[in-house]
Amino acid sequence: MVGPTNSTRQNQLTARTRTKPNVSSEPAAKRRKLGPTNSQKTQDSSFADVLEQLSQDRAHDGVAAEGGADSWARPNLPSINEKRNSIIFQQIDVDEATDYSNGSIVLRLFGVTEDGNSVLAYVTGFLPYFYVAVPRGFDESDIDAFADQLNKQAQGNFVRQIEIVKRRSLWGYRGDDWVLFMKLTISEPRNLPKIRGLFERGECGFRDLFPTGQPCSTFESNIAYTLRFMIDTKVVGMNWIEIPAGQYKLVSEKDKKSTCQIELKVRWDAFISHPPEENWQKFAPLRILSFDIECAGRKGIFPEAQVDPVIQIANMVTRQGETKPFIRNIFTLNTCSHIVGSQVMSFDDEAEMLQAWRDFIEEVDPDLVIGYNIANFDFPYLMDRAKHLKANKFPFLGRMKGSKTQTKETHFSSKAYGQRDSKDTELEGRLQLDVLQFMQREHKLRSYTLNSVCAQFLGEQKEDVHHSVITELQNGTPESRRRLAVYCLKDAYLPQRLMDKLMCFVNYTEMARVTGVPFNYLLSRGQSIKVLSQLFRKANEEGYVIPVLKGEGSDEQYEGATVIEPKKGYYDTPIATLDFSSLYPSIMMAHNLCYTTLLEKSTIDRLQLAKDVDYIQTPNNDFFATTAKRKGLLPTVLEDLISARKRAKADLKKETDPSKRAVLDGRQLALKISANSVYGFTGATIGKLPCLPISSSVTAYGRQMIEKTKQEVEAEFSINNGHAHNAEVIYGDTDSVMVKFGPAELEKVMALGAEAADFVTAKFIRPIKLEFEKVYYPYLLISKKRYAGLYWTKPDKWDKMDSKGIETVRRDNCRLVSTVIETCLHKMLIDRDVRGAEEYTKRIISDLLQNKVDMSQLVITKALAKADYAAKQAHVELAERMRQRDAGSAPALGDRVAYVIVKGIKGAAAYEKSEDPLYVLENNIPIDTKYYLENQLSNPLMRIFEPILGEKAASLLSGAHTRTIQIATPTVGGLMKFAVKTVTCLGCKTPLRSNNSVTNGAVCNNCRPKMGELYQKQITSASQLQVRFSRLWTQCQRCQGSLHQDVLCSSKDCPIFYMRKKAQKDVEDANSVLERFDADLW
Amino acid sequence: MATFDSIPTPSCPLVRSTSTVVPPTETTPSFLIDPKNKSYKHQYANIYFTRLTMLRSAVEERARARWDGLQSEPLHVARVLDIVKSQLCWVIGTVYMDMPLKPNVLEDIGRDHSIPAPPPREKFYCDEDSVMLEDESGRIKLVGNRVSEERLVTGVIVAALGMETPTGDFEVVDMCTAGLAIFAEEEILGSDAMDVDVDFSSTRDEYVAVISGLSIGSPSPADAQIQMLVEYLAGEAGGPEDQQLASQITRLIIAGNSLSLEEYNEEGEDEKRPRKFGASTQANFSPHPNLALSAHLHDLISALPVHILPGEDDPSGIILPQQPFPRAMFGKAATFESFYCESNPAWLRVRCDETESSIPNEGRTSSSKSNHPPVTRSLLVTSGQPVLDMYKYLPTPPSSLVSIAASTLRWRHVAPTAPDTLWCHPYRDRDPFVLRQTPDIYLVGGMPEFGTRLVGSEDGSGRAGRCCRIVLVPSFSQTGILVLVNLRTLEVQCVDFGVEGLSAGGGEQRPSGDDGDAMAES
Repeated sequence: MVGPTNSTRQNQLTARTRTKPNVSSEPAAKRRKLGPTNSQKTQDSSFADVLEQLSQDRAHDGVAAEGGADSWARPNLPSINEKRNSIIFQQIDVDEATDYSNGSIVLRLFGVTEDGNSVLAYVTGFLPYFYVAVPRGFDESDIDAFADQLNKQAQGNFVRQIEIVKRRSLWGYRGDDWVLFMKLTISEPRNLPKIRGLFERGECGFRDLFPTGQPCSTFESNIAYTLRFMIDTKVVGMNWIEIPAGQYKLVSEKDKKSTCQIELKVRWDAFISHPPEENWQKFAPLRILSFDIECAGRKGIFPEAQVDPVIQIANMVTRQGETKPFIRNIFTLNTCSHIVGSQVMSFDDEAEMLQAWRDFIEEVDPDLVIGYNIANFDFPYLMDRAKHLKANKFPFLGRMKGSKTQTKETHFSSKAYGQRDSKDTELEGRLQLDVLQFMQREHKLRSYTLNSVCAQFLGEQKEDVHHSVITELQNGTPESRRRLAVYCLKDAYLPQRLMDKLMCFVNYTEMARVTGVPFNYLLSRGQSIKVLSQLFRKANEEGYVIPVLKGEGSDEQYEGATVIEPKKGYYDTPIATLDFSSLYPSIMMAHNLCYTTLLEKSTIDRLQLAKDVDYIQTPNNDFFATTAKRKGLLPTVLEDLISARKRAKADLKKETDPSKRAVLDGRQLALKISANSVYGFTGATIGKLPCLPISSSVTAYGRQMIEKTKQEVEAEFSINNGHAHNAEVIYGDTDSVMVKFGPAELEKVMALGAEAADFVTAKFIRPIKLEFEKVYYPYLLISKKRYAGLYWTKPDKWDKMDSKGIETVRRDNCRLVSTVIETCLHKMLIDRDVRGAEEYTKRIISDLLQNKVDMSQLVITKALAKADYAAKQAHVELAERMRQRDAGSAPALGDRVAYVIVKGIKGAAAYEKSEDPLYVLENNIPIDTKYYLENQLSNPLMRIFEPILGEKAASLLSGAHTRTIQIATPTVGGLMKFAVKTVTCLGCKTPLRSNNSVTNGAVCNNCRPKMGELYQKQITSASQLQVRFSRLWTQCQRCQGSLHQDVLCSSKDCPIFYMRKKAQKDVEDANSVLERFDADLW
Repeated sequence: MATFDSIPTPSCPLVRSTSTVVPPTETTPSFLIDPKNKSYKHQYANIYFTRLTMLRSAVEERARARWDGLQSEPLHVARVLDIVKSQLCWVIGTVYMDMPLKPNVLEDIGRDHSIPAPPPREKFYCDEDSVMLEDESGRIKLVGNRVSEERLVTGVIVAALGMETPTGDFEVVDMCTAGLAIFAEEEILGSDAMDVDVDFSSTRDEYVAVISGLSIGSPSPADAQIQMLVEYLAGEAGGPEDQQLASQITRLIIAGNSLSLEEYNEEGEDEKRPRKFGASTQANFSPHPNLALSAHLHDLISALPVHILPGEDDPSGIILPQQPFPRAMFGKAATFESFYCESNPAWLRVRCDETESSIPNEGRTSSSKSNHPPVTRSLLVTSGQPVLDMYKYLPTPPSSLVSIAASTLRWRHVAPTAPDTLWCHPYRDRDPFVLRQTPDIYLVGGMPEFGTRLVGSEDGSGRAGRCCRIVLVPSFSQTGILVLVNLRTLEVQCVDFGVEGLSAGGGEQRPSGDDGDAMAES
């Protein structure tokens, strides 16, 4: 960590439990100021005053316990009168569970009141149901018989009620008639599939109305019970629930099944669900626990729960809305010295420690548990460890008494996020947010280690202690364990800080509120559930029922967005970018594309609909009814989302309270994401309700519009129409076109851009809107989806440098690539100095060839995921070689292996040439500069330079600057055993012998007259190295937060890790060269 | 002499007073890095650890004297971690200033290299700074007005009396530093001798002359003044009085920055161009500044002993302690035994002998004996980097360069900010910058302006105790000032080699002292 050091941070952690005594404002303090220089007597009296004041403060505030040790428990519960008090709480989780008293399924709402009391509400009486279309000839009188028939076939009394209702199917337009559906209410969620199966398999065989063997499709039978409940009661994730007085029954203390302070029962239709608007946007004081564990691993082996003990668990508990944790503590195995501002609890026995931690969880009762990689490491490890230690009372971390916490393997697969295997440890009644998973979902990064994420988002480096060092520290003294504890506390605090910084919790809460799904779904489920939840809510309001489609997961592909072939090049005139704002949603709205408006050819004929009046034909040759016939549901949903977003943005402008601002900002973001995911939902062939006519039509319209925009703009803004230049569309992709209008002045181009946007917008159906947003000037267009430019929204100052699809985040590149590319782009675009960029590139290449590039720039890292890969890989091979060298320090499974490519025998494969960067530094092993030049730098460089230099670009990679090559002389291996080192003259590189120089001297006799200059040159470079050494090592001291302890950090992500090692070696080398001058004759 | 007419000569031939360099003692250690210590394998934690160990007992002694009698009976705790919550206690540790504006190498590396680096800051301090006290066990944040009043910098060893607040900070009510170390050199008997017969003592006392910042090779050279300086010191310039005074200068100390670094910056420019084949092997350094310096040194060394220290701008390793220039660099001057290449910082012990000063002198030989007993003075000389570095930590006013220099004596440490912001050698088991004795004369080169102050021990309670003379030596190339320090009385005077309009040979003397405690000479 940079900047604030260890214990600054510790102090930052400190929740302010009282106002600091403002000593200076007191008369006593004024006298005290004179203290030190005055005589003993005055000192005495002034001290007395100050001390008295301090003790008064103490008496006044009471002694706050270190690390919030006295504030674990929730606030006391005021007495509640069922008849008079209504109960209002923010629900955080909704789930279903079996009520073991009668074996029935109940819904549970967990939540927290505004005063911070925890609530568990059992919701009773809500029964699942689904719909089936009523066959012709079936009427009210058949209901009882049909129900009996179904129950008999399913062998149970499952169907509680059948009701005939008027509804219409979501799928397709078949005229405006309402259709009869029967609503089958089922006794319990688990019985629903049994009844549904009868229909789907065509087994119900009720007279000839439901002929046997003929499947009958069901509606809304595949929605989860919990979600069904939420939709019907208008409960959305994280909203406020009010249970009026007299409508609930409190569960008595002795009958309580949970650790919640209030436990009550309420009928499903007896409570009020407040939509998250206005005053109900607030947050309850939710308790957020951020924790981290440390394990004592063995050398070279990643910790295994069966063997390696958990040695420390650090915890930070913060109330939502507060900036600092009010509880900071650490559970340690074996003694640990005091840590200022934190509570330290030491245990001799590991099982005892785990148990104490569990008890802590129960007492603190966190509503949200966060951490870094807790889902896949910390929780499973704790569970396995407790099992191994036979700590049978440990795995009860949820809110339900006697309900065992278990870790399950989950498999997650989503089109948007890819496939991922992970573990899930459900804590009943508590939310979880693994910040690592959040990062992997929301941000594309080079590396997801806590260290690099912190560097990226908090601007801080974090000290990284390798797990083999952890064991050493643990086996040391109370002080060394304290050091470890401080480190562990820091790791526990960082997720909280990241979460605050990135607003994860607030944004996800808003996402849950907007889409209506429980919070826990957001990380564990994909996009489609969110759309589905919204769709159901809207559809049911309007009387639609949603059919169940069997997800076939067809591989049917449809044509995607269009790309106007880029006219590659470097444009030194302003390029205007015209964007369709929310293109896909607005296409759906403009053309009324929806499930409910989808038309079959036969329907058109049957209803004799008129083309372009009653229906339209999309470019994909699908038919949709126009709004004249029926307003589509999806367009309505989208309109609601977009207008809600407008409202949120307007409120955001007005709002001044930062916490409310955060909520509003999170909301508008959630609304935007939601609007954009509707299109994807209709195209997800694996999803619940794919409808390719919609998604294909949307993209087809999109393509058409891009083409049309190009034509319109080029036709209108031409010399023929009196403009000074012919406008030219140089590139277009999905929802934007880049136009070169011609003029070199930004103002003119901006005016033209705005004009063109309005001009084209007028040609499209509302609400499709082409917006002029920005100008790129200059603009470097490399190829499809690869471009860079300087981004202007106002003519006087550019906003930022924008680059798309250019190597910056790919992890299998070394850092040098992104540094070089970024700097080149910077020079080209911001400094407008293409020559400068060329020069810079040549210099870097020359530096690379001369071995002057810092090692950290060349390091490539990869995680050692499993022991044997099918194909040989550089990092795996290296790990094996390192194990042979020294098993102790070799990377273990799960570690990230850092390597550089070194020179090998001719023709050796890259994987044979990987080497440990530290080993390379220590032994002067030559780097394979050719590899870096050809395999790493070459392609990206050519890509950005070719549009500018054309054929000449290749000269960057070969030319005069590539002719000086310096190769390190290795100290190990190969011929080095036989080599004899000879010193050379510092002036002319002549080997020094006894006949041309003095013993141990610096120069040859011929160069002696120049010795002064050579000395100065040498001393200057030595000085630079000395400063480098000092700066790097003092920085590491600051970062670790201690001056008196050696730096242990081995963070390979830190840019100075290799640099400081090299500085150490370089400065010694330079100094020894300097010494040669002492021996020489001047 | 050809210029016999134009140069007035004293009535009787002047003989230069002399002084001798005496060997260093245990408490005036050498700053040379011996082969045993030259390794860079060690981390900086060792220096801090050694420093704390060396100074702890001194601080503890003073803290006890100060606080033990208090009614509230503060508890002394051995380590920062042992601080008892809500109990008045005191603890000794190293100060660490956490300052967001300190130059940060990570920022420099992370910065986009195509944007020029922001100029170095004049000051680091800002409102977000916090003061930490730490030892090997841990650290704690110090709060309270008393802390900022103390005007601390990183690396100082202090004792803090106070109480831990519920928030985990340490509310300080009083602080205590080590205070002046002992004066190791023997005190001059009858110290009031310097008060009587001013005229007499001034005419026959021994002086040491100090300059800094000749900056030969800079774009605005001070060649004329340097020439005047050389002539003056050789006794070839000025009126009889000048020559009289010049003859009493027993040695010259050049406190850093003799050459100007600007010459080398060319190489930095060169970095921007792609290297041509073979180009980088050529040296880019002009030998001329060095030759000019060597010539001046040769002239000077013929007249009086010269000590030269490297400074920040000199071609020398930049890390402290800077090691002496290789003698051979200075050509013929190097052949003189009275030419000393010193480290920076350096301890000098100079003795003015009884016999030396009783050389026939206007017939007052006999009386001079009683007034000129042999005296040994210890001098601590630096080229100024530590003071300039600490200057960045503290707001001005109230802190000034001279007050900071005075503070270093009370902290018993010449360069506390090394290695945090001042680059220093990674010593394994010593901290040579700890002052185990207070020097009689503390010369700080490389300063922007002249300044001086006498610093005495605070325990004196009214009695004028023994004092250390602090002199800030300004850059000669910018101010033309040569500073003379009277080795016996510790008085200071400046000889100003005016920039313009001064006829050759005119050395102007001006009253010295910014605190009024330095006696001016007419």
